Amino acid sequence: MTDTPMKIVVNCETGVTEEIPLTAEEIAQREADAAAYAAAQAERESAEAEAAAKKAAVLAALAEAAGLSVDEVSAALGA
Amino acid sequence: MTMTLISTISLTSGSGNTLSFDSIPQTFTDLMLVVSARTTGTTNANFAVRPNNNIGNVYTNRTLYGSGSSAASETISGAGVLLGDYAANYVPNASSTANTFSNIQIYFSNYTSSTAKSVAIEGTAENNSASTYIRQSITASLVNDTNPITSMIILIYNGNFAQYSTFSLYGITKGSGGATVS
Repeated sequence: MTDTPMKIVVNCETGVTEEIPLTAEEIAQREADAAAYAAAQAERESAEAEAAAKKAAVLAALAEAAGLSVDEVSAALGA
Repeated sequence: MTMTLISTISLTSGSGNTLSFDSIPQTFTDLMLVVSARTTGTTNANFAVRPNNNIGNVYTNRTLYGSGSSAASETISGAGVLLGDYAANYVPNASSTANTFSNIQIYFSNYTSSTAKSVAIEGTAENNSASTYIRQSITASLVNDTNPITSMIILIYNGNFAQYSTFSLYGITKGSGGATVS
């Protein structure tokens, strides 16, 4: 059995708090939001991985040109 | 300037992934939402806030965030995008350092005005681990909704809010020399 997602509602006027099940509409909206988040995160991870790879390649090239280790170049550049 | 606690709730069990503050009084100048949360899910949860449950294309978020080893910025806007953005404000999960919760503060300026709302967000998903997606962030957001904010929905998209997750809503009143946008 799948548990129904719940919403906690706090009425700021009365101070009453109640727990109620999400409606079908709210559940559908959540699923749409989650899908959008997942797509954006995948895109971000891809961009970050690409940037990290480019950075590593630049550091390696600088290290080779300077006759230093990648760590030494990275420390010198604060990278 | 005075700051008044409107309402606060600390969850006694991890049974909900959505929390709503309804019937927000319209007697203050600004609002501040302070959240300390954790998810029962097994991965960090995206956290977001939706004023007036507005699901329209009204949100623009500009974020500067760090993950411990790097920093980046991004702008996110569009239909269905919730205040809080995608990159930042992750909530630690059940596998994160025990008894450790996120710290998120969201400030809504002139929330009763009939103009778009300027919002400032700062947050971090606390965790004592070298994890890529434990983030710290500051975000400048615009909610292009000209209605006064009378309610606020808070959501996570993985698991439920864990026990002891706490949500506090404060009302800030301008000082005698202050002004508001109407």
